[in-house]
Amino acid sequence: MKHDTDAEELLESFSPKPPITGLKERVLRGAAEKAFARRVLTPAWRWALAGSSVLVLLISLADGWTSTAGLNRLNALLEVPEPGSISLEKAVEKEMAAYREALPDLDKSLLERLQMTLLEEKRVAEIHREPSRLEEAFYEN
Amino acid sequence: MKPLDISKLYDQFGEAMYRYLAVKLGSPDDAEDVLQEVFYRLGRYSFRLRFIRDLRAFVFRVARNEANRYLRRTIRNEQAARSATGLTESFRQTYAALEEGPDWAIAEALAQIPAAQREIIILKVLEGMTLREIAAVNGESVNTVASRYRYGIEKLRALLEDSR
Repeated sequence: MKHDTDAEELLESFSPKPPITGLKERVLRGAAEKAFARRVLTPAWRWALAGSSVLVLLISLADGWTSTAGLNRLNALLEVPEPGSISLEKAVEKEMAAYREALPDLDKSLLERLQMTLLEEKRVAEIHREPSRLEEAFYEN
Repeated sequence: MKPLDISKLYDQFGEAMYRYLAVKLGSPDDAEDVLQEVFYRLGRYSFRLRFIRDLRAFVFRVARNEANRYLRRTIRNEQAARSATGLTESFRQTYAALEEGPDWAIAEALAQIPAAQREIIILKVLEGMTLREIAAVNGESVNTVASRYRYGIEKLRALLEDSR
């Protein structure tokens, strides 16, 4: 083990030489150059990314707009009531409100009968309404 | 939170890493190239470096990994020749003797022992790292590092005796 200590002591008789002039600057400059050269987002890529993001946004907006327009056209062809259009019951209720306002002294049972009659009329009218253009086209062909 | 200042990091460990790389690679020029790569990587890690407990072990580990990558990539076939001739010269270029008439046989002996043992001896004796730190650098257990150190010193002794 004495010899082991000798080898260690011999090594310990050496010490680091003073720093090499300019080494730090060269190393840090080289590292900075590598970092610059290997950037993921070079200016060209940055522009390309921004451009494609705008394009994707425009395509999404256009798609939304065209699909809404297409859906409206399809609904119009099929005569599906548009969202917000009132149902038969609501239409009758609206008419009844007008009656109540115009004839406040009307009997309650009479009002109920009137409401039933109006509802019935509207249902009959709905059943006997004109066939839609799509149905017409179907029967014509 | 600010990233760690790479320039300050160099002041702390740069020169020691350069010496370590010069002896490991057997070429001060290659050591400089690899050190640039190391600081490029440390620059990328600069935010994470603040949370690392043993910064010295970490930066040396980065240096070691980068040196191994460099060896695999460029001098795979020349490594044996380089370690025998270049290492002694690299040692002379990076370390100075405290006494007059130094025994450079130790540098030649260092070049002849296995790289894994040499690396541990350099880090422990010349760079003053603890065995625990070296274990963190090498990604090995402290026991493995300690036994490699012991075997390396024994081989050095035997080589020195043969040269006398």
